[in-house]
Amino acid sequence: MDFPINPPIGERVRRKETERFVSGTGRYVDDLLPAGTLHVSFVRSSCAHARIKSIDVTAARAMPGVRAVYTGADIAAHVKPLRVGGSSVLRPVKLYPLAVDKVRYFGEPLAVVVADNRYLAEDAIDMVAVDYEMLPAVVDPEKAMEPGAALVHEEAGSNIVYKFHFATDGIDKVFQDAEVVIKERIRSHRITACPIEPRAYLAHYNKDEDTLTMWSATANPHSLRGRIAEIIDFPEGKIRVIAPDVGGSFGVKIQTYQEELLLPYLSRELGRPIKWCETRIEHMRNGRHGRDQIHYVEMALKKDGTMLGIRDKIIADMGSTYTVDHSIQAAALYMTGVYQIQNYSVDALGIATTKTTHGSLRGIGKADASYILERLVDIAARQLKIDPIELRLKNFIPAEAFPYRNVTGALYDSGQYHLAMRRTAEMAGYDRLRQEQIELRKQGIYRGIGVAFVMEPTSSSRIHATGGYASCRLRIDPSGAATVFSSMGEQGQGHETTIAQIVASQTGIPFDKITVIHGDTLPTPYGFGTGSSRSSVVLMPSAWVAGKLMRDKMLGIAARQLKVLPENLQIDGGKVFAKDHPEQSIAVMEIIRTAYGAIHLLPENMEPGLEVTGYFINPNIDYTPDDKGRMNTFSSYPYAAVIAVVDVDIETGMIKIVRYSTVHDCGNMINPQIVDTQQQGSIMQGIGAALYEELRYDEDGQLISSSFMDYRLPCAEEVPELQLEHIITPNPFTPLGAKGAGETGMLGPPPALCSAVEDALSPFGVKVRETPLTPDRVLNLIEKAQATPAHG
Amino acid sequence: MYPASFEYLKPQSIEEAMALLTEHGEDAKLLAGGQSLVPMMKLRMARPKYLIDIHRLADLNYIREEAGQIRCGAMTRHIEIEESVLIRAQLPMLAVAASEIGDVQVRNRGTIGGGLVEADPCGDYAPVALAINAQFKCVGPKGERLIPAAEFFSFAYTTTLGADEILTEIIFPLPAQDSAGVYLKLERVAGDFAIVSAAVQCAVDKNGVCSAIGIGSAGGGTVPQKALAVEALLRGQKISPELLAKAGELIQVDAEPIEDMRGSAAYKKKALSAILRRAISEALRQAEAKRVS
Repeated sequence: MDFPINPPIGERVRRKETERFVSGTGRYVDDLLPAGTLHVSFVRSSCAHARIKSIDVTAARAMPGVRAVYTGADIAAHVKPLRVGGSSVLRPVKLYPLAVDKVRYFGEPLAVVVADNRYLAEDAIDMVAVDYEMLPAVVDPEKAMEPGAALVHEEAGSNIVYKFHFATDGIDKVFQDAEVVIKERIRSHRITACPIEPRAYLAHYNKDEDTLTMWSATANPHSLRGRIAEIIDFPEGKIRVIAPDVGGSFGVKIQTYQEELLLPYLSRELGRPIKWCETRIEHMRNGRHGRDQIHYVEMALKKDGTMLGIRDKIIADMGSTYTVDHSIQAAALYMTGVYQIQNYSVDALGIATTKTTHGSLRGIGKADASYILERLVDIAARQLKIDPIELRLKNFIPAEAFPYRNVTGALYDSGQYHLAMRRTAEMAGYDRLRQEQIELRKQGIYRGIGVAFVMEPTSSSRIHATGGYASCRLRIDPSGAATVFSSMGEQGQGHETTIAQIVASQTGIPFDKITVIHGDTLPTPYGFGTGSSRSSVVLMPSAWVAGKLMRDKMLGIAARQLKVLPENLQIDGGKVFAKDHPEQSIAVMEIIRTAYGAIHLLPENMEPGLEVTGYFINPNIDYTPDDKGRMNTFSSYPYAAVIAVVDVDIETGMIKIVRYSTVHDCGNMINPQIVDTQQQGSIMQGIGAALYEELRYDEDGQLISSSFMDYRLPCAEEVPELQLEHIITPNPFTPLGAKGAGETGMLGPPPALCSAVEDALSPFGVKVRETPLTPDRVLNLIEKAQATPAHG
Repeated sequence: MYPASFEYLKPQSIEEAMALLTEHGEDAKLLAGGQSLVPMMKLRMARPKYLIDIHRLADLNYIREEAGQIRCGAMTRHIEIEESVLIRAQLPMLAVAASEIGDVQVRNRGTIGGGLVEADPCGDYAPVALAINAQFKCVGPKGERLIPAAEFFSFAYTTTLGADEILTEIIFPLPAQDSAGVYLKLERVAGDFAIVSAAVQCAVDKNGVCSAIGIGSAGGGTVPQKALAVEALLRGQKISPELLAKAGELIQVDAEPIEDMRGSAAYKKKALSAILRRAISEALRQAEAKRVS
């Protein structure tokens, strides 16, 4: 396939956004304060699971500066329930902006105070008295499945709120006949994304205009607009959602939240702007959590290392689960990863517990799958005494097999797995590392070399959820500048830059003269939120389509005036000219003037003006399963090979990452600088997940790691020496040849670092099945292994 | 992150601060840098009615050498201790301890007095102060008194300082010229409070015998400890690997670490043993190098 990618596409153009972010002139929701704004604070559940017997708000209402206090029941009487769950939920439950009869997790909002300022609102929430009838906390998902367990949602009749099954014919026979079966229980632990800006909302109902403007730190403005219209029964056309600068999402801001839907109601009720900016502790307790899956997983192999099949049982802790997100299916459909495995079965269960609701988080579901699969491959390699790289090379899907249909029907667009793995080994100096390891061990240094190969399905496309398309409206303005209206907002991805690069490449309008408008539902075309790394897979192609439509139009106008066929024309240096006779030319400004002001010179049947809308639809999606349950709901499959080197201090359990080498393939890169920085940040987030970060609950269901004192993020000093390279295998299903670039980085560290630590501690025979690899856990692993006979 | 309402008071002298503290008693808190107090107030875990800001009082901000002692005004900032030429030359482990507190922003504002009175079980200064028997000068309505480091910490986040007293000065006796000091901290990520830490100041004679030793540690309990038993075990001995191992065992005997996200009690005991042994070995190595040079 031919990719017509011309500069500045593919160049390291400086980001348009950088200056305002680094100079502090970005504008976030918290920077906005319309006159008359009232502020809210939420009364939040102090326990994990309880029936609300009564809420006494009398004293709070009497506090100075308090304008109103509402309980969940007050609100439920006046708004429609939130649209929750998907078709996949076994029994949908009702959710209102505030808890009504029961609280189902620690920190759930159950009443709201509106006051003149946030301090007074906080004072007043202290005065709200809630009488609870305590119910047992449901913390362990495996116990939650047992008969007689307390029910999180009584009306659902069970804590098993979601089931997914897939099996190929004869899978059990494959395991019966297998020479080797590896069987493990491996768990991915609960983490959250921690964007630098927590959630923030400002709703302003304008009585005179009868319109509602909602500023939200959202990654999904158009969906939010529809949901607001629905819950407060207000015409969608009178609602405008604006996402100003947003300080990161990583999935957590693509969802719509309870508090977010309450503010528009309050503003309409009180006729005043209403603002709420989340505190960090609220964010840790109420922002969506991710991961938290237990897999009982088996792999069947031949003695020579040929992988034959996988059987998996997934128990996914969905938290208070008013919604069941995409995570379970995303894990279940990709447990065979990058390997040629055509025998597979999975039973996946989504379990309701009394924890914070589970949701999107960079690498949702797919990170669990790749981590657990790679753990299994390492354990198999050690048991079979095969080098972990060799075992992977033996089973990779070969380059010539793409596009490759995996066992669950997923269509992998492209890949060169063997090349990526070999190049990583070469870059890291794998053979030399193995030699050094032997030498260092003699000196008492436990060095480990970890290998991982992760693949990240991107641009998810689900019916009624995430579309599978995006659009850009492009206008060349009469002044000669261009404006692009993007259907998707940005939270740090650099769309303002990459869209401008694409439009500049197509139309010849200089990059500096192109402005990209996004995150505002009024001027931009409809589209789904920024997530699943779909920007480069659907949004950028839609900018490319818009640019192409515009280019065709400009050339059409020039063709008539120059009397040259459009295909013989070229745009460059502010002119359109004949390729063979450059002296036959017309200035781009002349074309623009014609389009707007001299329309009698336009070709016949051409519409006036220079305004087009480009749509791009992922062409390779199978929205509904076939008769065997196979489907493809993602459209591109970037991947990365990783070799991580660590030193483990066996007295303290501390891990030092000596070097992290990775080769990444996201196809063609629109801006390699942006891809590199995405990878660096993403890898650090993965290192945090592997080594430091954990949302831990006690047995009463209290979240005990709800501040950055307890939930530790890696900092600059934890950044290891990083070797990052790309290979480029263009995605044949988009005109730019790009794949998603936002998430693959985060998938690498958990399996690579577990692999490295296990390798470092191989003299003890340690097996890593739980994370994060805190020093405490590492020391425990060593001690446990020493207590049992070593095995190789 | 919205504190309850409070009144902000800014005295111009220690005497004025004392008077305000006497007047408002338990309702008042001293603001000495605010790197722990302000976050606690934002979480409403601390709700002082009066905040008496002393952190800019110039006569509490100094580092000077006097009669074989280094005296630090209580409002000396961490960054000033970290960068002090005097401290780096005379008491390097104190500069190291200061350099490992929080991040640069915290070190620019936080003060040594604030850090010590905060009395976090894993604070960085306490082990150093305990190892070399620092003294804390306090002033109150009844006048001045000196509290030895070993008597200063009474429980987690609690000291023996009276509610109407102000810590004004920390006095570090200068160790003998031929001795060496090492502060070692085990932390999850850079800038965190310690999981465990140890400070060791020691000297060795020409026979390789440990002639003097002082040890402070944190993470082994609700308060930082002076490791008297370990000091006694090692003082006057040639430190063999076996003796070092014994020291590592001994430090665990009375340790009752707090279990938290930094680790279980059992883990912290083992980590403390490892860090202590390493700090001793390194201090001995440096002391030996000093003796030879």
